[in-house]
Amino acid sequence: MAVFPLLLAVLLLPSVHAFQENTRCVDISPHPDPEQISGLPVELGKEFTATCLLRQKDLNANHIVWAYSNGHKVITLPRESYRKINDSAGSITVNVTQDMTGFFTCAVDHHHTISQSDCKGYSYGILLDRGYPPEKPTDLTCQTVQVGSRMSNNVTCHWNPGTRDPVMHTNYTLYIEESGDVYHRRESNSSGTVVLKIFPHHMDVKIWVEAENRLGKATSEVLNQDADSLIKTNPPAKVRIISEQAIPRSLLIQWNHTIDQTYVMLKYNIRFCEKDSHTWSEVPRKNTKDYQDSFRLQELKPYTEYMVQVRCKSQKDLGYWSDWSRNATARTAEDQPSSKPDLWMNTTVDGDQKIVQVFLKKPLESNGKILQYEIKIVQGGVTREPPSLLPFEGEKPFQLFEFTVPRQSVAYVNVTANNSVGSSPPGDLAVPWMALELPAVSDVGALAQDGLLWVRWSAPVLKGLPVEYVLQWVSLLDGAWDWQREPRNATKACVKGNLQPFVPYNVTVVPIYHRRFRDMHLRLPGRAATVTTYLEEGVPDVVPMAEVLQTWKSSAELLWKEIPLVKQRGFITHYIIIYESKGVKTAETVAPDMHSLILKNLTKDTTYKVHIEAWTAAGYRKSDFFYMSTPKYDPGEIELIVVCVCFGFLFFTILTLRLCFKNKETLKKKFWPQVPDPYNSTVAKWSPDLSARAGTPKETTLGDLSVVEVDVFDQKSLCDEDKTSLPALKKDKYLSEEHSSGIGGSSCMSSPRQSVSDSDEADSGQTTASTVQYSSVVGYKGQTPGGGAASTAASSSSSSSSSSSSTVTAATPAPAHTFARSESTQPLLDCEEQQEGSGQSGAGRGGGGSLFRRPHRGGFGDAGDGSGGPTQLHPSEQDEQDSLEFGPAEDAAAVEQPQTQTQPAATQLPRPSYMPQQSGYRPQ
Amino acid sequence: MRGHGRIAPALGPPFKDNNLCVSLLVLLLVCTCVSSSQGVSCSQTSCCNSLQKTLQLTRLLHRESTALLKTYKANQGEGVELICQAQSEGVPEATVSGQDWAERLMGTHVRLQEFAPHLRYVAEQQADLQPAASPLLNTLAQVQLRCPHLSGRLHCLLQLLLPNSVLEPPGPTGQPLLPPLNSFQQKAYGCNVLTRFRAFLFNSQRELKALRGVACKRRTAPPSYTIGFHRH
Repeated sequence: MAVFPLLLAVLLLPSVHAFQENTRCVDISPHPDPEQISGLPVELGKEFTATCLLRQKDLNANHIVWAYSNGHKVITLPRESYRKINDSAGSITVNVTQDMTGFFTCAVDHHHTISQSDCKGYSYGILLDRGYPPEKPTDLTCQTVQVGSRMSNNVTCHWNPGTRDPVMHTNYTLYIEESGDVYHRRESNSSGTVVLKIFPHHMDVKIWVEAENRLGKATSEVLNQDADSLIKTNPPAKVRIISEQAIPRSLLIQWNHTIDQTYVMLKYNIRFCEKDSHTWSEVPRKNTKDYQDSFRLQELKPYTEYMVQVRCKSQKDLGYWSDWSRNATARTAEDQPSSKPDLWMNTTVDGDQKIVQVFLKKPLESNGKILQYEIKIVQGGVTREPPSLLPFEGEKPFQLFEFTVPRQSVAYVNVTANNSVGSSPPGDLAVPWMALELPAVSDVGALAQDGLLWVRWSAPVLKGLPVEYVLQWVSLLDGAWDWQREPRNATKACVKGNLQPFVPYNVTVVPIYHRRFRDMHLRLPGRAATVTTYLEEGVPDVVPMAEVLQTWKSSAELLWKEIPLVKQRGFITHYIIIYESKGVKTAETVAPDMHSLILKNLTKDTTYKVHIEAWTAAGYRKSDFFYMSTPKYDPGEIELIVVCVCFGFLFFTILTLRLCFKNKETLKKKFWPQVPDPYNSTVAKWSPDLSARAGTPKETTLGDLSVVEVDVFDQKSLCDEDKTSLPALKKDKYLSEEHSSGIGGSSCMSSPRQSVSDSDEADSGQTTASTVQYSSVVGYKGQTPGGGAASTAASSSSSSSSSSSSTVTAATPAPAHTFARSESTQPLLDCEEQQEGSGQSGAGRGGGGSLFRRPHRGGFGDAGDGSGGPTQLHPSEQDEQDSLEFGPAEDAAAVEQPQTQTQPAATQLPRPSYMPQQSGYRPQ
Repeated sequence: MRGHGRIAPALGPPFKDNNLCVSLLVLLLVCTCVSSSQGVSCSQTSCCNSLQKTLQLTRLLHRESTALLKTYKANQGEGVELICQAQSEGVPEATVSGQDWAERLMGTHVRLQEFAPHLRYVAEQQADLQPAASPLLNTLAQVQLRCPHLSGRLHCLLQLLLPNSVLEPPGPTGQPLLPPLNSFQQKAYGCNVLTRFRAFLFNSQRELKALRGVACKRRTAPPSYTIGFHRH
């Protein structure tokens, strides 16, 4: 509600602000100084009370709204903090916050006013200059540096203005008071420089800093001190060193005073070090506390280059030390070597001789430039003359001297190092004596710590402890080696050589014993004890890729090469082979001396992501990934399965065949049911006369044959196309459905009784006793009544196979759907034999019409094609005929083909009175 | 301003004149006021320390005055020795008189202040004779600036050693009353002032050195011996 007018008021503030006081209807107290554009100073976090004065009578203090802007929006202050003074004045007390960046406004709702006055503007705002009062400056320090031969007039001071940001602008003023004059300089940071007329030597000064802003003022502690305490002079000039030949262990240092003592009485500080060592030694200050310009350094090393630096400060210990002077360098004079040369040796046996290699290092305290080694070989107590002289070669860390001694002899070498001043004390070492093998140290171990390699050992338990130890180290990579000596009571030592990290070293500890042999005092080396170690171990540089030697469906064999020594960079602690598949990661740990692994429990037909990690004490490095697939089958598994399957199949086949053979009869009956053999039928006896005419039985029975042509395959055609014939068929009561269906199938299985009944119906005038009952055969498939196709069908129909019927039917022309029915009292086999023997012409003719016809007795011959009457075959011959009929349909057609070619002549013949049986019956 | 007049020993023979005591007390108060208005603050240091610093500063000023005289002569052209042999009137003496160390210390303080206008006059003369960047002018200015330091030190030492002493009002500190001088006379005058000033500082050093082993230990009984002054 009140926000809109408030916003409007804030927007109009500049214009409102410009109004004269007597024209404003609203005013705020306290009012900031108009000259201070930053606003009214207020302290952050403290309470601030403002009063809003209403200068129009109609305005009411209840309608005052206080608000402030944070730069983005206007925030109305809660009414709980309002306080009504009277009807024309209200105040508010708020906690000053950081976000009060905009105007702090007082607005009043004037819609309730009635009278119009001259005042304008119903809101007024003031800016708040937020901040903190300054903190007291601390840690005030001042300094004056030397310029030329005098101290500068400029005094530079630093102070700590405090940790709290005053937020508002704060001025810092540096004051220096000397001899009644006060100098000051206004600064805005934590340091400042005051320029004096002249530096007040030997005078007292007062220095302080005053911090001031609009919220207050704070003054630091006053430094009331001698002006000399501000002094920092230049370092001593022209520092030089004088080396005196007569005093090889001393150097004289001289310098110039940097400033006259009347200004500052200086004291000095000297430090020195061997060149390039940078480990400074300081001369005790009490020795240089006087105002002096020279000093003699003593107890230095001869023939050593030293660096010297000097600095100065007020003797009263006021002020600051000057910077160190620049390096002054000089070398002490030469002196004779004060320590013996270092010897070490290596012996090899060559036949009866022992080849001794002596390694020589110059004395640690050479005290000059070594010129040569003087080597004496003492063998069996006798010194070889003259002694050997080996020129010193300074560029080598050590030199080699070689000689031979008899294998069983006792010998030692005695070496001195000479410089231009004199000779060193002699160093000696005995050639290892085969007859006296002295024990080695025990418990040798190495430890790298803080970049140093420490070797520990235990002294050998032996009467006559070692007099010293020799530590020899050799790099296993490049063969670099060196040795060092340790005292007799040492049980550990730091290897001083320039060892490199990640390089394997063999560190050998050799005790040196003192033994007396005859008149000789021998320093005999004992046996060596060696440990391999690293100064610092790292992760291996490389990790070899593993090679998959062989894979099985559930395992795989990996092989990898050993990491070369130069690449190991540490002791390989173990390998980890990590293989991963389908997000499942598996790790196998392998000992460091193993370089092959068989991964087990793998999943067949799976690809694995494999890598190797080689671990050292410092960590590990991974090899590149490679992929490995397990096969679906193990090698030979497929072959095994195939063989098994083949054997199984073979076994099954054999078993099946055996069962077939074993149940041959059953199967035969099942698939090829027996057809009653009329020939061997015992239902009735043939009449004597018939038996007498056994040669031509068909001729006597042909008259009883009836021919029925029924299309059993296409009743439709029968019904539709032979509608005219059906009545006749019904009339004759020779529906195909009422009779057995013919050869094979049900026809073959038709009962004699039915046949008898049929005969009875067909020929009611005959008596059962006087007539021979024959099977009535109904024409069946393949008996195509007409055309050449019919003859073919008739030929094929001789086959009792029902499967061939469809083929024949398909080849049969549609119009001829007549079937022949035989109702002859003559055995059908005769007809069939005759049919077979006479060709298929009769059948072809029989297929020409669709009628039922009762054949004539004895008319068979007429109906034939002149090929002769039916010949009754012997059962064996009948079998042969049957076997022919079981051939493929094509063959049958092929066989019949010549016959069909002769058909045109046959078609000229009169239609036979019956349809001959195409195929014979199986003998029963 | 600092006192300039007779030395009044604080712990000398007992005063018999009460009026004199009152007047001395008034003078002391006035002196204190003048001193405080001068702005010279004397830190609460020991006598020995104050004397040591005074001596050090006297040495420093002596060294600077020596360098100044050398520079002055180097900048006056040929015949400077002849010039310096010419005597000039009105130049303060280099000696400090007094029956005891207190009077001589007070006299040293007074004499130092007497040199101040002469040094300033020499500086003004040389500013006309020398180029602006001349090191002589710079050195002259430095010596002039150093004089108040020594004066302050002497004042503090006097306050420390003779807290009841009455410092007479200073004499005229403006231009010395000298007749108009030609260039030669100015050079001679300058040389005389600087020479005497250096001698004065030398004498002051000796006086202070002599004071070092006596004044701070026997403040209640000032020594009565006299020290021979170096005169020029």
